[in-house]
Amino acid sequence: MISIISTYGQDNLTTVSQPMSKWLRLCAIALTGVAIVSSALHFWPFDSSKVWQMLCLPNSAVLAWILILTVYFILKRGQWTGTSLLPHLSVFAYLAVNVLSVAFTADLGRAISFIGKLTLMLIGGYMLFSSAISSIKSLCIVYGLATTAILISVAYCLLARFGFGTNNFGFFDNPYKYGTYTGTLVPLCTSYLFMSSRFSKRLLAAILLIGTLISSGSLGAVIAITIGIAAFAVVIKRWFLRICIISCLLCGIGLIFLLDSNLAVVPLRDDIKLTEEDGINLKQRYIEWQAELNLLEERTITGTAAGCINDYRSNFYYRLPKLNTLKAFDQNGWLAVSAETGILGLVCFCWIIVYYSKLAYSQITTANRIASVKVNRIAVANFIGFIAACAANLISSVHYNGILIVFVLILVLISRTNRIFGQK
Amino acid sequence: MKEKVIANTLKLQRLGLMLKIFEFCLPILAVFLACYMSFRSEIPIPIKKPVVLIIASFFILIPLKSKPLRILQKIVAFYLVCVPVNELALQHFQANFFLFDINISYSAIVLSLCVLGYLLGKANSTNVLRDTEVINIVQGWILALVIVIVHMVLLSLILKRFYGYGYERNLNVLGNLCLYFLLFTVLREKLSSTYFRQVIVLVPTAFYTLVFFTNR
Repeated sequence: MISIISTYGQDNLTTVSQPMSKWLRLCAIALTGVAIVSSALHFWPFDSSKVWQMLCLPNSAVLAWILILTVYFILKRGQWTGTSLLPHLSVFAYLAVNVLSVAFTADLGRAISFIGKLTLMLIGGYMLFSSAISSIKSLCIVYGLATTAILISVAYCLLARFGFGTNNFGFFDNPYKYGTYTGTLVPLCTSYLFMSSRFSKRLLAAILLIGTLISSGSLGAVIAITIGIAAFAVVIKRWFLRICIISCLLCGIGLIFLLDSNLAVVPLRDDIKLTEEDGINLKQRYIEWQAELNLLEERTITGTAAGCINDYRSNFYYRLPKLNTLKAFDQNGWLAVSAETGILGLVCFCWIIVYYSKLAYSQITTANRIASVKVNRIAVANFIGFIAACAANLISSVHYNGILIVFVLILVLISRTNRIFGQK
Repeated sequence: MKEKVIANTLKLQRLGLMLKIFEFCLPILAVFLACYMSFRSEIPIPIKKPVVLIIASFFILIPLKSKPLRILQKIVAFYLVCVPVNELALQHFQANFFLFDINISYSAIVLSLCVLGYLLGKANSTNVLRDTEVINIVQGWILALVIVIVHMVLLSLILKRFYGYGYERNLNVLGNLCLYFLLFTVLREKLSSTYFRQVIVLVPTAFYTLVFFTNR
């Protein structure tokens, strides 16, 4: 690892290094397929098992890849460095601040567990997806896998809630995690499908968009999808497509209102309200946000330590009512990062956002300049997915185990698209 | 005539040297004061695992050639230097001067020393922000501040409507964030120097070692 890091930052295009072997790349594609498609299952069928939460299929696929890559690196030492597979420096800076924050935790196990999962996906997952994506064809395969995953998730959720009348959100037991997952992947996949020349793909995109909106159980999902699709409408230049996607969005939102009395839509209806069930107090979520801001006054740099926000946040409610009605995983990702790792942690996370957003936007302008339909399609979808992820982070964090994989996927799509187009 | 010119040149050189010494030493003095005052006030924010910070300090002391790793060292060094400043967060210097009550945060005193060092350095330097990564980090700072401010505004409006209170501390929070942004701005260039980075980190390292051994 040290020799990999010591060569990090070298100009990878001029470094003499053998390309990855074909069998290794096929292995990466297979493991990527397992990771992405199985992410739809979340922690099903062993939701309450801590061991399974750590070793679920996506995490296991990433772990397997790390092992394979380590063996490959040892065997090919000096011929292959793999630095081109690593994420941008900002990711390492963010992880470094997370590690430093451990100095302030009382619960070392929890902090280490959180950082372990974060590192596994941010570095291991990033390297896995980077290894799999080496050409436009592999990019399209990954988009296909992401679409498959989201279709499975949404379809089962609709069946479970409207068909069987269960309280779960398909394979997700929590509406906020489901909302972040779909709120990030749906704009990514639907924008990719809408830009296809085939009518069947556009129809699929429309069905996926409307179906996801109806199945949403959280405000976060609706916000992320709305912002993502609105951004898509702004970025694309074809008026007919703009009208189609806005119509689909309005149709989905309209159906939510029409189905207002249906039990399946009740969680969303309750989540959109500003007040608690008593109709008097402000929703606990917003009081929690204020508590996290108050925490920043005292612990601006130190934070509470990574993964340890629950140990401290109730101390910062001050005069605001503590109702204990906050639901699990209902957490503002932006404020949670600042509360846990301090302002420097938030700055490093924003550094990630700035770097990859610039990269994604530059791909759109490049695609317009070279007038390539395929490149434009991928570039736009990457950008929209990224915006949707940032919006989804508002109501439920992208850092959660099982959800982080989609955020990492988007970062890799942006990064590898840049590399592939650069070589062309 | 010649002697006058030589004497003037020597004077200017001495002045330049003194400015450089002050520029170098003021931030270190500021960090030393922060560590001293934190230790004296029994470390309001407990450092439960100071070993982590001590190990991070060793990372700073390694001379690295790779540019990304040096940037990483800068960030870690900035964190290590800011922790003692954070310990002073809620402490103020209070005094009565004639009819005026003076109430200054200790963090602001630390910042002012660093700013003074920065201004003295600016007199000698014409460095312009060119490095892309540093520009991205600064933009990251601005984005972070914007995100926090937007949240503050939204929450102030909502809380005002529901309770009429609860958002009073937002300006204090914003002030704290601006303080660290300013600290980053004034220390950014100096932390690029390996020697300065290593020297300034020695002060908080000693502080963390003391915390470790005294179990504070």
